[in-house]
Amino acid sequence: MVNMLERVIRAVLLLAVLCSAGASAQEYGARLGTVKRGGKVSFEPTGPGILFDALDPVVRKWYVPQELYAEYGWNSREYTNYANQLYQRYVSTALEGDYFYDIYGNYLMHGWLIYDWRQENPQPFGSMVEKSGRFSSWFSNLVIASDHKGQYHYAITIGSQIRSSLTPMTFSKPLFDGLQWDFMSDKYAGTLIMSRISEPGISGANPSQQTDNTNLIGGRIEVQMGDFAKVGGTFVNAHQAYTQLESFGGDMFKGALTGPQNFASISRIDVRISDDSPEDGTGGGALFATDILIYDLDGKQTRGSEIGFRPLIEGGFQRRGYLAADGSEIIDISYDFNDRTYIGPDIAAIERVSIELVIANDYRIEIASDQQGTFLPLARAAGNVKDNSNQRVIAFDYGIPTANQIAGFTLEVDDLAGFRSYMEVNVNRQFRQYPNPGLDRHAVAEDEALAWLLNVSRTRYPFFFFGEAFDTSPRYATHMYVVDRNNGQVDFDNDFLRFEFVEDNDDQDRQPDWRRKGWEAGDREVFPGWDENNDFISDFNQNDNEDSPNLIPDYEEPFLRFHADRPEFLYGVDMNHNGWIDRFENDEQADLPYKPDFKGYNAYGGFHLSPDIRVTVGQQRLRQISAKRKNRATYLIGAANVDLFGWGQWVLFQDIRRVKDTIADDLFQWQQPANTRGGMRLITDPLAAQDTWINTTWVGFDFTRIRGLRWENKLKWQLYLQQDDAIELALRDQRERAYFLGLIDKVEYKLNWLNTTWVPRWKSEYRHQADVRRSVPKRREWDQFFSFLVRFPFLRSSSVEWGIEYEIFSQLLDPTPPGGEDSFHGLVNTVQLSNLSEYQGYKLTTTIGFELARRQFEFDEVETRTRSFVAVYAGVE
Amino acid sequence: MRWQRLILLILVGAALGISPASGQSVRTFTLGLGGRPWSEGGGSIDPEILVRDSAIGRVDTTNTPEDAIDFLQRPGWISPRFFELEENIASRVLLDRGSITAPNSLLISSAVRRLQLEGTVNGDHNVAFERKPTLSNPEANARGILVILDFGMPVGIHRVRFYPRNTVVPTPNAPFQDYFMRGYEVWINDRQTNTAQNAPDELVARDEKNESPIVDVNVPPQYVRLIKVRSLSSTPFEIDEVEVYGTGYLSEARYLTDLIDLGDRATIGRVRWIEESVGEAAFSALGVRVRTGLDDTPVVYQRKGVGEFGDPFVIEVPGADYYQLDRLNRGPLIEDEEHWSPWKSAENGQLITAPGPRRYVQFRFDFNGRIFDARQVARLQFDYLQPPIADTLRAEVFPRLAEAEKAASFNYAVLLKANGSVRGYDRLEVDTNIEVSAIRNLRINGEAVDFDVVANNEDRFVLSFPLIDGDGDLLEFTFDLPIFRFGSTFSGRAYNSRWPSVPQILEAGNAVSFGPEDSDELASLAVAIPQAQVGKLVGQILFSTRVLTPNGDGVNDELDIFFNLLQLTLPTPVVLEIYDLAGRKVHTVFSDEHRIGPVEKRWDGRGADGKGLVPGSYIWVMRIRADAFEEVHTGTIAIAY
Repeated sequence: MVNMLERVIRAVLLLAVLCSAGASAQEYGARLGTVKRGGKVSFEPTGPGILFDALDPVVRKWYVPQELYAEYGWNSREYTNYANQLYQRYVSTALEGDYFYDIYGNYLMHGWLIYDWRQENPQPFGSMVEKSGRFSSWFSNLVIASDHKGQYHYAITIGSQIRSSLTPMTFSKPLFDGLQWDFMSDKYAGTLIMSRISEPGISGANPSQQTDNTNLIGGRIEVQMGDFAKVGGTFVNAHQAYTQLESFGGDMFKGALTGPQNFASISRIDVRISDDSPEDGTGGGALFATDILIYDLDGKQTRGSEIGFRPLIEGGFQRRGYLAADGSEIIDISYDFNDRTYIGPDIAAIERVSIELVIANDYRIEIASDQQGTFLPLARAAGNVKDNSNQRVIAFDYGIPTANQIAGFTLEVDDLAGFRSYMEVNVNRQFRQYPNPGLDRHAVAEDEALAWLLNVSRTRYPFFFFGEAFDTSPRYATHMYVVDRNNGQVDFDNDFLRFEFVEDNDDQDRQPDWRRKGWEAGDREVFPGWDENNDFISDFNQNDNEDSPNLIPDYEEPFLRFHADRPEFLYGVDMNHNGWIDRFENDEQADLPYKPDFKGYNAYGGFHLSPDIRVTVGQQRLRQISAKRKNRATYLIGAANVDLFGWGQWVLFQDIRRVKDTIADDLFQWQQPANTRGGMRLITDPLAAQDTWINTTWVGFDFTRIRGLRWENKLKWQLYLQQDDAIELALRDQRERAYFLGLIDKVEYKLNWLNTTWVPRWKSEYRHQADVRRSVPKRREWDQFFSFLVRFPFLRSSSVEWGIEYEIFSQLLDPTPPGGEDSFHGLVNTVQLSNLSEYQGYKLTTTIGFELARRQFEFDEVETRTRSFVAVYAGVE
Repeated sequence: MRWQRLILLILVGAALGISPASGQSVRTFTLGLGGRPWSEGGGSIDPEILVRDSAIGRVDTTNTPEDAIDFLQRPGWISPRFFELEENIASRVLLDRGSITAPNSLLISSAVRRLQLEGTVNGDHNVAFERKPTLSNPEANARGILVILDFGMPVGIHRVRFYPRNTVVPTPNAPFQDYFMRGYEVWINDRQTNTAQNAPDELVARDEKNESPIVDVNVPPQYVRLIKVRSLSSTPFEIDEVEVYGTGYLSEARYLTDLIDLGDRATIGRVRWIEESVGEAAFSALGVRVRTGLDDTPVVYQRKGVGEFGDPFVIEVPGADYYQLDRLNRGPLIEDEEHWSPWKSAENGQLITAPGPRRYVQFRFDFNGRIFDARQVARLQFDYLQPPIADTLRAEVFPRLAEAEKAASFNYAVLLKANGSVRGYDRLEVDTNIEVSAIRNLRINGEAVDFDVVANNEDRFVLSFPLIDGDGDLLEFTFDLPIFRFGSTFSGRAYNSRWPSVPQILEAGNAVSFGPEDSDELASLAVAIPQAQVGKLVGQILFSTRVLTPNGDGVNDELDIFFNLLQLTLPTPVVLEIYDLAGRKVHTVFSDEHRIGPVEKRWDGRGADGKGLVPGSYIWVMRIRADAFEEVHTGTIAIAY
């Protein structure tokens, strides 16, 4: 009985304990957190504590309930019955995401990692960049953290395609993939940019962990001084990094050799000497002597000539006392440490190697080694020296490039005694290091290049003045070859590994024009100045698009050619005298305001005769530093844009200049040959103005007096009058007188009569041209178009349009020059039905039409072409 | 019998392109017109050019890499390959550097595709590149398919034609004349496609609705490396042949002679060749290079192996044995830098700078030009002397550092080395920048001998003396002259007056010890000036007086001006102007060009009008207008009467 009672008591106690245990378990509702007094949940990383309620001495297996209990009250020991409370999948957002802590262990938030870039040294794979898939899917590759109070603002912008610019000579990219941290107050402004440019991370990809990488760090500070001056400092540095090294073991900004670059000792160093102006065939690099200095780890210096270590020299013409690399000749100097004549320090004990060259004339020096397969430029002679007057000793340390750095300052003055100016001075330092696998830190060599510019202007009506001066060293470099993420190597031949501080983006769109690291696609359609409506379609082929390619430029297409005139009839300033208007030029160079390797000035002043008429006189003197080339011009420009008492607008540009230009400014221009959609073509500067008078006159008159009548006239007259003698011109294949006379007249009258629209038109295009190059035939042509359009609307939103265009092309030269067309008459007859209607929320435009074109040549058969079409376009506007 | 031998010798010599010249010891080697034909390479040992296109490399033994040399256009001459207008050159894509590919035609096996593509350029009209549905590939897409011909180098073309089988050439067994490309584009590029480096493809023809089985595209004559034909239609098609009609010269071409075996070591005289240009000479160039060797193979063939203890080794093996080796045992091929010299540039009519005497010699002709501008070469010729003048003529000058402008004495030594019979020399020609003031103390093996100065002018001096032909014989002498340039090199040539057409170049090196300061390792023929003096164009300027008194009394009536021009290699304009104290130029004393070395001028105190300048103090300004900069010196001078 006692036993029975005892059992009952035990059972009751056990039940009570179980119940109390169950009841107490209900209170552990904080997942991963510690419940503080008062029920507050903390996620601070304090480690597990003592749970008072878990001190009950029970044998039964028991665990602290975790997340499902908190969110859904789920307990493993409880009976689940979903009859009334239906079962739910785990959809609570509280179950997703992670908990994040800062470096001090402070709890940051519960959420998702979006972007993480960290570098830890020394350890393998110490550089890691992670962009989670949410970086692109949630935030479209851009996150911004910002704060402000009063006048103080700052923002941290992390993005894959940030428009980022410090100064035009140091850093300017339409697509910067990295971090930009900006600060601004009333007086101060600052920016810090950072990126692991070798592999800035791809959203959604696995975290990119690298041992060898290339980092960029840069910034700019601006200080407003008074109310008229702003002083700024800029710094940009890109360097190779090797995470197995200690961060503070050397100068971070000088970079480090990557693992593969430092895998083996250098066993051969190659120096290449060539002619910096090979086109003249003479006076190339003259090598008088060469020697090598080897510094070992003990600091001992060994001179190659003193131990009989001589280079293998290949190529070069033997002249009295020197070897000449004239024209295409190349002198290859190879110091091979494996050569049997080498008795210097063991290559594993070499810390630094210096090479001395006694050299003269117009040399170009490049270096390479067995660890650096590509020859990289080291030095170029200034000018085109042929008489040995620049003989000098050039000594340089061999090394593999590890960093590129630009530091400079700017001074901007706004309205100081009426003057406005901008000055920028930058020093570019390029570092290289000599590999030795036995060393962590390596001998560093560096080259320095200077670039500066100054712009000054002042306007005091009616007078104005502008001056610009600049000097940019040929060695000024705004790029860095980055580590190949696949193998840690740096391929100096691979443009896709070349990171540009300043991009080439002549059309100022969102895409760099060239194909470089960070933008491998390039821009296949670059036509600066020819897209005034910013629709990314050339204004000369406006009706072209991907869905409906048009292969005919508008100025050659029937009916459209009334409005579109040929680019040759445009007018603009051509300061580099390459035959192209400057604002339409596209090149394949970084968009520095002034190109490297040039120095000089340009200044002009003038006055306004009236607000619409001005006269400008100026002079420019440019010199190519590494070659004996120059661009000199003295010019007088008149410009007028006058309203003729309500009769119309009269425009005049008059430019006369004396030019001596031997600098080749080759271009890469958009052109649309017949039957193509256009593409980029290399345009070589014909150097048409080596000693030349150039006159350009452009006159335009738009008659606007009579309503409905449009009458336009354009005249362009350009003359190149060469001053060189006939023999010189014959050698250059140039005409003594080259000219372009173009005259366009067009009249259009729009008449609405009986609900129909009648549009008669006439356009005349006269061209008389003799190109600077003799090999290009002269042209003298007259093309006239008579056209008539009638538009008949019917019903509510339909119309029929009939158009006829009659063309008379007269070849005014006899015989017809090569490449020219014979005279012909052409007739284009077109009828088109147009319908506008609404359909399923879209506005449909339907066109059905037929075109018949005939062309009757003077000496050939009749050509007939037909075109019929049915097209439906849908839009929402 | 003797005349029979002589005739036999002449006949054999003529057959071999070798003929006796002035004296039996001098022979003339002729390749091309009048000698061995170019097409045979000029020797009996095939050239060996190491091509590093793999880790091991390979040896090219052809005289005309890439078949780039033309022997037929002008008989007896060579030039870059010239293509006649009707010559189909499409098969050149099958050469080493070329290729024909269809990169997006992936559904055919690569082997079949290669065979088909080769069949489109090799003239085989039974094989065509097909893009048609088959049982295994019923949905073969034809639209967008590219066929790319890569010539590996720019070739001149003017026409491209392609067609299916049974069109141009009847192939009744393959009646696929309707399987022509219904829409096409033809693109060309003179380089590898690279829009990043100004090398985008250029569209030259496009027809979306082609109705002609034979597509014939004419293009202006131009260099092209790539031709791309792209289908614009989904209609199945085939290409029997792509014909590319060439024109003009190849832009680059190389001709290599055989390894010319001269039979024994020989001193090689001046090399000359006949060269003409076609079109504008300014747009074409010919580079001739030469190398000399001690054995008959400029490549080291190596065998890889593993030693007894597992250590890997590489040993040299004969070339013939190398190709018998298993591929895994073939070691890397390397240039034989020990027995063969590097390629040295040669100039027409000049001695070669490759080391000599040697038994083996090889020449290389590198042509560059434009489509209608090229160089042609008729004949390569050189004389050689056997036995040679010496096996080695090592020469050095001492001291090798001298202060610029100061008169200095230099010791010169030439050491003759002979490994057998040699001709010796009795005349020596030494290059200088100016005339030497004295040559003295000439000794042979330490004993003074009589000698003659045959010539002594501003660029060289020539000495004659008794014949020196013994192994170890040492010629020494001393000469005096000032140095005006860093790197003044007293290079020289030794002659045997019996065979003056074949001199031997002196080799810079240690010939004798001139004392404790003469380091053997630094021995050379060049004399340097202190680095601080490098960069100056004019040394000290000496005026005979500072006060000019042109009054006819015989004292200081005229001003003598003396200065040295330094460093320059070309005549350079030098101007001396006189300014008054107000800065007005009153006279230009002289304005003319001068060479390196001393210059003497005289001024009588008169102006340009012949009248004497008014008494007073004047400023003289000397300008040396060099290419790199204008060096200006100024001073004062007074005129009194």
